[in-house]
Amino acid sequence: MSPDPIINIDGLTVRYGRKTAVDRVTLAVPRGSVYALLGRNGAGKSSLVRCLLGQQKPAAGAVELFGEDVWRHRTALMERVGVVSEEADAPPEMTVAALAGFCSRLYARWDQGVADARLERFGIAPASRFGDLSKGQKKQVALALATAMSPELLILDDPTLGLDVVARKALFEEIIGELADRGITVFVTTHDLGGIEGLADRVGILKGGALVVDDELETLKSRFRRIRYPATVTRAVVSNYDDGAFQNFAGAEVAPMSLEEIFIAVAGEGAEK
Amino acid sequence: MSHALVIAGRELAEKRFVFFAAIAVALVAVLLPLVPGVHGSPRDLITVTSMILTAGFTLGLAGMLGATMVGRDLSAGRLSFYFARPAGAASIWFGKLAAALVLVIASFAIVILPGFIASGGQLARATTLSFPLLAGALVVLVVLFFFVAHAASTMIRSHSVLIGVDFAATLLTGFLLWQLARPLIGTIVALGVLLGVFALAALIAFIAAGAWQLADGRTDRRRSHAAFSKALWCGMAAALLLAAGTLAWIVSPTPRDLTGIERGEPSPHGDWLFISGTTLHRFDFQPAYLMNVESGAWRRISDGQNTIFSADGSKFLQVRERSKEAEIVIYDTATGRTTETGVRLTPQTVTHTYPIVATDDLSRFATFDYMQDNLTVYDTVARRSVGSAHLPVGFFPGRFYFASPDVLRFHVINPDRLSAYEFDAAHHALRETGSVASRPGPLRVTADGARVVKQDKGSASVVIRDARTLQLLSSVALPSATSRFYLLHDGRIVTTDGQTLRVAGTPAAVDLGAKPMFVADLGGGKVAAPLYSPSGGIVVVDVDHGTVVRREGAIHPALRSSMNFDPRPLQWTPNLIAVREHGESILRWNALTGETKVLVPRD
Repeated sequence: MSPDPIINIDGLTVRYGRKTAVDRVTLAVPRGSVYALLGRNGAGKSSLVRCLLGQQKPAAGAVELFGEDVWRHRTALMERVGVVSEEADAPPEMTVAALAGFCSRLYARWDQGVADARLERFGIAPASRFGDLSKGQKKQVALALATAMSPELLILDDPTLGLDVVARKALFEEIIGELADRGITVFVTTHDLGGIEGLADRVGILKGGALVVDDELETLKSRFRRIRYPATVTRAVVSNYDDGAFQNFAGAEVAPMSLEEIFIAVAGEGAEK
Repeated sequence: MSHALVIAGRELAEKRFVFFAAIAVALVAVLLPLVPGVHGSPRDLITVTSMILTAGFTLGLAGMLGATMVGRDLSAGRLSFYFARPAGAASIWFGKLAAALVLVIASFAIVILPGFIASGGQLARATTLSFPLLAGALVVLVVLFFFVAHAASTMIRSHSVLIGVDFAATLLTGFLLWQLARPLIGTIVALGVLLGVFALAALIAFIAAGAWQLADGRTDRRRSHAAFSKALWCGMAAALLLAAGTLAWIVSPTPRDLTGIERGEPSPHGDWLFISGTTLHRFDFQPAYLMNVESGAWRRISDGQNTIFSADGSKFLQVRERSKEAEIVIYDTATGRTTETGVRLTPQTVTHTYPIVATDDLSRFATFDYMQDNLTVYDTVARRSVGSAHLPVGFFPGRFYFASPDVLRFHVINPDRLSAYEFDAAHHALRETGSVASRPGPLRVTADGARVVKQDKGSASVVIRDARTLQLLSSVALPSATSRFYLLHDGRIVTTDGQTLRVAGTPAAVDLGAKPMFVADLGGGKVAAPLYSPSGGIVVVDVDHGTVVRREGAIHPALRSSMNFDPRPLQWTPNLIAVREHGESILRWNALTGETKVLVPRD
């Protein structure tokens, strides 16, 4: 773990009345890494992201960005954080150009060229009304705005929601990959496990509000194996796989698992509360 | 600051349709005179229509902006657009507030413009009401509409049970404000100051609550509501405390702060003085005190009208005016206890006078209700009405007295007759007890109530009749037909002509030096005559010897200023309560010895 994590969450708990949405989550995201937070709908991802953005006060625990409490120092910290939220929250009557103009006056390190270039690449006309754009285009505009303010941290809450296959691929491979290459820390929640698999350095899985997995992706993948005994049609998933321990299992087929398979194995059982 | 301006600019851009709507509404006033069937001066039509539309549009806009400015973004989940950026909660709030202010002011200017031009800049001429008052009321209403709509929007959109707490807090605030305002009802400026202080503090509370709502509630609707309510009601509590402090300051003056005496009611034979007047820096609030003229001790009491002391001065009856009713109370001078009689009258907000007479011991009192034309006798011990009579409209003469605890007597003077009536409350009987031919003219009743003294207009004499039967008893010549006459307690008649005082039936004449306001019987054959003189002054005359006992300049008596509905003469004590002309001290002045005791010194 990096000695100065960009994101440091310690014992975060979020409650809505009697319901606990996020339950004592502790995680840290090192500088320059891509962290993928996975979880089924209602697992607590959005609540955690709202806390991460200083928009929601935790019931307990602490959330720090760049070593500072995000609830108390939100305004200053947002100068360094690009955000693509789950729902399109920009005023629908504003044009894309007006949105960019508005944001340019709020951020000290605004690069209009970056915004223009991204919008051009997405094929979105600056004169378009935000409310008239498709869901995917709105995400793309949000992404263009989030990257134009020269972020040190990019927080993406389900950024591929509404994007077609091509746009999803472009988002992950071109944009997130490019940002990660430039040393920008990326925190992403997503359901697109295939897309994030090649990019994430670290993966967390929320289940029922609790962080049940928080590991380096490679480590995680090395720990999980699917084991099949062809003679007995017995199948099993092992989450603490060790080559040495399993070498004596004669006749067993041991296969590596994809992130999606791991996610299903970890979070797929039972309905989320 | 710069972020607030950026947000204000964005809000203005979003709501620019308001300007177009304002222009459209303004055009309605311009086009109205062109509508077939609409008559009248086009200039007046445009002016008046423009003023009405301006008021309506501005108020509607204020309400709409208040309801949507934060509430709609919050419920639509769009506040995160701001909160995901380096914009402080205060910048967001004050940016939105500034935009709303600009929208309201600009819309006002746009809609009023046709009226302003049509009236040649003289909008005030279009209304008979005070234009500054109308403009002020519009500003207050706009602010009220905006913030109340914002509060309601925040509370309703959260779908939180907290709204019940808000409702209870609203009722409690209203109740407490009413309690704070009650002591100042009857004043205009003082009440306005109290409400103004509260309104200003409440405005700050609303603004601060909005800022705290965004600072602590951010994008969470329920937390936003909770933060808003917490700040608002804390602010309202502070506003109430501030108003309470203001009230405490307004009602705090001591008798030393009195700058003028509006009502001074000395008890006839006791040591008490009810005094009320204006004070330094308390606007139109007039504090009232009960003062012991012997000890100088004073007590702050509620102001009241028509003070009637009992003969021994141990208590007095007063009418205490509330907002919607006037209540008759009896105040015990020794204990300071106020007893409500349960009798409520229609408040006389202009004259502050109530036709009330009482028995010497205040065990009974009677009122006449001009609205209902009812004459009613009450028992203060039993706290109930003893009897009531409905009189014909315009019949009641205004002055009446207790001939006995059960019987009220009054005299009606018609153009050609004088009639005596008695209302026997115990038997609920109203009857005429006497009637004689007479002409209009002043009528007095002797101190014992047994005789009436009547001067017919233009006559140089008075006739003395039995008060009940009006049977002629005697006649006394006056110096002239224009003489004013006063009855002494012993039955003698004193007259004044200009500045000359005489005792009827004697040749002695006393030059008072100036025309007297009235003549007061001090007992023992002495009378006091306060003078109509720029420098004031009182002359004390020995009527037995026709000589001036004392002249005291530069003082004014503290008169029994409530209108006296009892026609019998008052018996004054030689110890008069007076105000010194220069220095304004309130003092007790002995009319016989000249001894002076300062009751309320002036610094």
